[in-house]
Amino acid sequence: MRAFFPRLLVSVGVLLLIMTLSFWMTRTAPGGPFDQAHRLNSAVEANLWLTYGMADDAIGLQGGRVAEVLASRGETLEEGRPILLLESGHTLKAPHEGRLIHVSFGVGDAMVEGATFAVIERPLWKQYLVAMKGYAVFDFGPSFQYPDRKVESLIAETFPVSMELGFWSLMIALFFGVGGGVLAGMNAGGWKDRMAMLMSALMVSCSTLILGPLLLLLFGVHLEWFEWGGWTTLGSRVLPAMTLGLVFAANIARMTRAGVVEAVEGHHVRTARAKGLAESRVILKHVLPGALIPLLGYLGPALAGLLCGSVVVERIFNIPGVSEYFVSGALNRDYPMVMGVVVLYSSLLIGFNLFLDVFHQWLDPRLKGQA
Amino acid sequence: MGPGVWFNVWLGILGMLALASVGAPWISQHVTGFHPNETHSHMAAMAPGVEDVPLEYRQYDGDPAVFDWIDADGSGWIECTVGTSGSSSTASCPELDVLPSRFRFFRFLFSDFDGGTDSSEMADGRLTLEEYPQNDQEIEPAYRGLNLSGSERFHGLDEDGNGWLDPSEVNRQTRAYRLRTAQLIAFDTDGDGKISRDEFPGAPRTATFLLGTDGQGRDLFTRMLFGARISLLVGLLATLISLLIGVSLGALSGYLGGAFDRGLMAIVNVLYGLPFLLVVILILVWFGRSMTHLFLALGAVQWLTICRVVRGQVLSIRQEEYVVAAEALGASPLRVIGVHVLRNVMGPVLAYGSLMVPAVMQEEAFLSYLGLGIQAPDPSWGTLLAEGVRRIEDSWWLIVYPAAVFVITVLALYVVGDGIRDRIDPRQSMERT
Repeated sequence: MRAFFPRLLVSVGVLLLIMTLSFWMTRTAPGGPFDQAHRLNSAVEANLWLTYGMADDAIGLQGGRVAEVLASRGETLEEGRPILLLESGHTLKAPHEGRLIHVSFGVGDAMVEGATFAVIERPLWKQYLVAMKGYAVFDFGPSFQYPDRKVESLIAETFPVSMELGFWSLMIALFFGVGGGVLAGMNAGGWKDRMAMLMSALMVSCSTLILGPLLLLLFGVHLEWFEWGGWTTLGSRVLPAMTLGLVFAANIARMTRAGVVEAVEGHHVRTARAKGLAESRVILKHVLPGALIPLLGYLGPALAGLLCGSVVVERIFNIPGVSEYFVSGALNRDYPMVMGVVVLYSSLLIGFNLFLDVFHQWLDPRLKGQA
Repeated sequence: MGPGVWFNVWLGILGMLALASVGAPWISQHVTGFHPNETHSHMAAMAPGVEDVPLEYRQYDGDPAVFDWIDADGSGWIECTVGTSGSSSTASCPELDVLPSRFRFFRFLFSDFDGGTDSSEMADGRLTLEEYPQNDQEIEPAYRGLNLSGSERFHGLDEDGNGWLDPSEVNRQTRAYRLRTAQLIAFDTDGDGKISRDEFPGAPRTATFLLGTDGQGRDLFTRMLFGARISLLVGLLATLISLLIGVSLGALSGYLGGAFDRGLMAIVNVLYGLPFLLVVILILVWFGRSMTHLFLALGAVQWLTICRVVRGQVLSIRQEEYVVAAEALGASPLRVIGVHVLRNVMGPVLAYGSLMVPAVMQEEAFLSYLGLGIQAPDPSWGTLLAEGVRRIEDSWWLIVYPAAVFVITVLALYVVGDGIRDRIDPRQSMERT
C-alpha cells in the first residue's frame, strides 16, 4: 500500500493538468465565443462572460441620471477608475481592475441604486479558481450548441447508455478472449489454436470501423437476425456490443494464450494432473489464475480503446450515447461540451487504472515492495 | 509454404497497393475513365457494372455517322464561332445546341417514368415499353417535337432487344447527345473555327463503374484508389513525424539521463494514460481541421512508444565499450548520439515504424469517419466507410469493397511490418512466441 499514495498523487496531478488545459482552451480557443477576433453584441457577450464565471457585475451604490460615460468597451481599467458620471456629481467606479466588457447605461439613462452598471473581466487567477471549482463538481456551464442546456445534464442523460455499451462489450471481450485464449493455449500448435489465432489476427486488422458495418450488413440488414439503430430492445444491443467486444477479445485471446502456454508447463500444474484432478479443475484452479495476471495490465489500455471505439460504434449503430455530443461538439467548436467529455473520460480512465494498479498488487504478492 | 513465402505474398500485395495509389491519377484517366470527384447525379447509388459517359476524361469512338446526324444543314462542316470575352475565349457551335435538351430528357427518363407516371408499378431500374412515354403529350413541352417519345424510339434504344431499358443501355445509346462545344473545339486542329468530317472525333465512349457508384453518382473504384493514396500518405507522413519526435526525444532522454529523462518519462506516462482519440480531437479542434494538422495530430500521439523503445536502446548502448571509448576520446554528446547511438537504434526504429503505418491509417480512418479528418469531397478510407454506412440498407457495394480493401491493406502492412521486425530484430519475435 506504500506505493498507493504516490500513484494517487500522480493521478490527481494528471487530472488537474487536463482541467487546466481545458480551462485554457475554452478561454483562448480560436472561433469560440471568447475569441476577440469576432465580436458579439455587447450585452450578449457580457451575459456569456458572467455565465462562465469570467466576469463580475459592478453594482452602483448611487442611483440617478447618467451624465457621461467615462470608459469605453474593451478598455482595460485600473481599480477605482470612474466609469459613469451621474448628474448628481457622483462617479461610479470600477470595483477591481480588468477589461471593461459591457456598460449597461448610456447618457441620459436613469439608473436605480443597486443596479448592475457594468461588467468587468475577472482577474485570470480568479477565473481559473472558479472554473476549477466548477470542473471538480462536474460543472462546465452551458453548452455552446444548446445554450439553454448545461453540459453536465446533457452528459448525464446519455452517459448511462455508453456505460451499458461498454459493460456488455467488456463482458463479450472477456468471454471470447479468455475462452478463445484458453482453447488455443491448451491445444497449442493444434488446429484449434491456429483457428483461434487466425480469427484474432483478422479481428486486430479489422477494427471497429470495419467489423461494425460488416456485422450490421450481414446480421442486421441481410439476415435480419437483430434489430439495429438505436438502443431500445435487447436485440438492438447485440451487434454494437459484439462489434466493440470482439476487437478487444482478439487481443485478450493472444495474451491469455501466451499466459496459458507458460502456466501449463509449471510444476504445480503437473502436480495437479498427477494427483488425477479433472482437466476442467486443473484449468480453472491452477492454470487460469497465473495466466490471467498479465491481462490486468492490458485492461487499462483496453478501457481507453473501448472509450474511443465506442465513439465509432455509437455512430455506426445510431446509439444515443455520450459520443454524439462529443463529436458534434468537436465539429462545432462547442468547447464546454468537448471539455466535459474529455474530463469525464480522463477521470474514468485514471480512476480505473489506479484501481487496477492496487488490485494487481493485492493479487500478485511478488509486486509488493516495488514502486 | 513457409513463413517467408507469405511475407513475400503480402509484400507483393502491398507493392501493388502502393503502385495503384501512386498511379491513381493515371489509372483514373486511362483505366477507369472517371475523375474521383465527378458526379453523375442521375446514376446515384448504382450497382457495380453500370456505364456512363465520363465528364472529365473523354474518349471518342470515331463514328462518322454521328457527324452526318449533327451536321443538319449538310454543309460538311460543324460551324462554330470562336470569340473572346475578357481573358477567356468562348466558342459556340449552333448545330450542337440541340443536344443538351435531348440529353436532359434521357437523364431524367428513369426518375420520371420508371414505375409509370402514376406510380402504378414499382420503380425497378427497368423501363418497359408500357412505361416509356408513348407520344409527345406525355412528356414536358420542352422536349416535344424532338422525336424522343414513341415505341420506335424505345426499340432503337433497346439494343439487346430484351424488352426493357436499363440506365447503362440508355447512356450508351444516347452518348452522342453528350457532345459539348468546349470539348469538341479542341479537335479543330487547323484552327479555322469549323470541325470538318476528318477532325470530328465521333461520339464519346461510355466507361464502366467497376464497383458501382456512390450516393452522388461518383465512381467508387476511382474514389477507392484516391482514398488509398491519401490514407497511405497520411500513414507515412504521420509516422515520419512521430519517428522524428520519438527518436530525437528518446535518444536525448536516454543519453542525458537525469532530470530531463525523468521529466520526459513522466510526460510520456501521463500521455499514455489518455485515450489517443481525445488528444487528436483536441488538437484538431484547437488548430482547426486541415490535412497538415491531421498529420501533426496523429504524429503527436504516436511518438510515445518509439520514444520509450529508443530510450531503452540508448541506455543499453551507452554502456558499450565503443561509446565509452568515444566519450573518453572527447567526442561531444551530439556526435556520440548522431554517429554511434542513432546508427545502432535504426533497426528497431525501422521495425516499429513499419508497424506504426497501419495503426496510423486506422486512426485516420477513425477520424475521417467521424468527420474530423479528411474533408469531403476528398476520398479517404474513413469518408468512404462513412458513406457506406449511411447507405448500408440499399447499396451493399459501398461498404463491402472499401472495407475489404482496407482490411487487406492493413493486414498486409501488419504482416510486412512484423516480417521486417523479425528480420531486423529476431529477439523480439522470439520473445513474443
